[in-house]
Amino acid sequence: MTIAVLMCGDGVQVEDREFLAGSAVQVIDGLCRDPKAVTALGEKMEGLVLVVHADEFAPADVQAQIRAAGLDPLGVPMLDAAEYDGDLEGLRVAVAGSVARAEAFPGSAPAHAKPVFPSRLTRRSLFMIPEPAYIAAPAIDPMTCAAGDGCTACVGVCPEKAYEWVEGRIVYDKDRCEPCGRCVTTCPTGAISNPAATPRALAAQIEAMAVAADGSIGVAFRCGRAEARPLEGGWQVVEVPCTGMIIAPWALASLILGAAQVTVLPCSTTGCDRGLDAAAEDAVGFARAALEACGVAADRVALAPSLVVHEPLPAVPVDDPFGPRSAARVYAGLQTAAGTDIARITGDGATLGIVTIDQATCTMCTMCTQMCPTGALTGGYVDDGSLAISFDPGDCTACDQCVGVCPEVERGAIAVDHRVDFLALAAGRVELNRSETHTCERCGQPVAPTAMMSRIGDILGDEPALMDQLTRLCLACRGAS
Amino acid sequence: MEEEPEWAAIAATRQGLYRMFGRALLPPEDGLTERLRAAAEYLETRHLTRFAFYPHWLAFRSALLDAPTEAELATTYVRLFASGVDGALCPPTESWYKTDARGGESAELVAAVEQHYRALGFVPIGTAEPPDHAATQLEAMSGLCAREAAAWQARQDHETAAVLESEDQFLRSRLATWFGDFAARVRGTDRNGWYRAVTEVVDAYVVQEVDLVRALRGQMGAS
Repeated sequence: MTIAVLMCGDGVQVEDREFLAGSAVQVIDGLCRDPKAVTALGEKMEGLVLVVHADEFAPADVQAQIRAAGLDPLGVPMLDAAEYDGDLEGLRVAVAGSVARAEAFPGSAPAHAKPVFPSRLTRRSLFMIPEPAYIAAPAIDPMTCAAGDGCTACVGVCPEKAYEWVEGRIVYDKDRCEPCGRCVTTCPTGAISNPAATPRALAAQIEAMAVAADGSIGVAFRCGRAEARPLEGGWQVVEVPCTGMIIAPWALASLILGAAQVTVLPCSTTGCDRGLDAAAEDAVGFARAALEACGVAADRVALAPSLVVHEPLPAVPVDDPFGPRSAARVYAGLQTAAGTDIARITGDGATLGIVTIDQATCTMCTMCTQMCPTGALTGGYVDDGSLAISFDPGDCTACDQCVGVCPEVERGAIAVDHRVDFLALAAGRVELNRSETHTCERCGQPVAPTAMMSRIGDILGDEPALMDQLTRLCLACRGAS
Repeated sequence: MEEEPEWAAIAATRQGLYRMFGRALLPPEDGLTERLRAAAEYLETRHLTRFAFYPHWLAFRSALLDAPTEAELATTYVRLFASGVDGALCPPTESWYKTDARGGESAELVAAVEQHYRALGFVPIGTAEPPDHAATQLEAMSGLCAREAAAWQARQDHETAAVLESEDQFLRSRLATWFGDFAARVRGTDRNGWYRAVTEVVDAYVVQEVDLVRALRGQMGAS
């Protein structure tokens, strides 16, 4: 795949030009002011990386030129030249990562483009409405969305209330959405995608930077709205829509892919302006707990960048480490990289969970199994005719949807413990509860689980006749009689 | 640098796009593909690269170069949109996607669409297609964009805002509510065909329009 790398030559010193002449970077004077050079490359390229001066180029103009070249602007990584002023080695590594990210761009759908008007006023925009540029917004794949089963995970995490569950489907309001990516990393089935930060592209970028660097690098996940600032001490930026979308396995996956350290940089020095600091703190906190449990220095993951002092962990191949439901693989990879064998790690940022069912209060209604978006909880009749609920921790994303739907939750029928439990993961699917079923006197078909009958009996304690009617015949036979 | 187009010019371009796409979804007439090619060539000069749907436009232009003969077009049109053993494979009408014809709801919806046109000051004339046909709805949006262009040109802020509101409402209550389903149906039926290319570019364009019109309204201060 041919990826062109164009850099605005304004302000680039002669000796730096000589250095760049031997690289993949083409230096073009005045690129920010006149981005036509992008179009001039035409069909010679299949992808593009731009190194520009963020405060000098007009995004709408640049995007138009990218489209004219037959490319998708949402798939063009942009580096801020000012960030690498005098740091050509850092630029070389960043370019390698951005090229890998551009190569991994999956393409975008019309639904992924959201128009935004520039917040900066220019002399021209004082007198007219400026032209919008487009940013990448999430889109839902209805084929994999579990809203039909009642899943509302995206609704619950969206800070802008852009999602609404309506009659078994998710209605997404792009106007409200200020793409933060929380929905992307929360969706249990991976139905929500943002092409600007796909799992494959992030992994490719980090891996390429680690390979390209001469020494250790730190990965700084930075909010896409943050002002670019040079980072000292071996840090390389990986831009994401918002640091609130970072989850602990992403931080750990970065280490497994070759980064020596990881940090998270919100959009401003005072924190995330969407108020998602707590999410990032949970993620970092849990990643540190995981490192500590594995006997690895916890300061490899931190909320603020210090000097990169560690050597990378041994690289461990993990399939799709940033992908949905990859957490179990990442934690297993961390154990391998650390050469340890631990039992469990507990905390709010786990993104893995262990479901427990209280057999005394669960009525075996199986609503939790019908709701479970990933199939971690399943229910069905077993050989002896009884109804069983089983659970596979490897498929659980700790989305808590099962807790939300349980009609007996107040009596403690179900709980999700947010933890990485290696013993449970190794054990695989286990049965959590089982109940015999009450059968119809007339047709022999199941009426309901005995546990549920017992609960109904408790509720209808003073109406034995009604209880008798409910328990003797199934719904179909009751209707026929 | 390419000169930044102004909103009047952008609205005029959008008017042209709606009109061309509407024509492409009408029953084919003599010289249709030639006229579409000429229109596309003209529209290409109207800063289309500034629109998010441009990659889809390029695919459409490529399909336009290899468009089938008019006889083939006519046959395909009938097969997909007009009739068949079990009716049309992909009816290009809003009512088919949103109502149950047996319950009489289709007539109600078509009447509501007709009413919507009248409220906008439009009367469908010179077409045999029903009011809820894709081509008719695209033509209505073309008409609204023409008004918008005139309002921008005359610097009538209130009129511009009012037209944008009408466009927003029409897109969100009509065209955008069903065109995606229609396009998906064509995609599954006419896999490599001309009408797949047409419906895909229109689908992308309508999605872009929904976002652009709402964002523009927001920029003008509409809630």
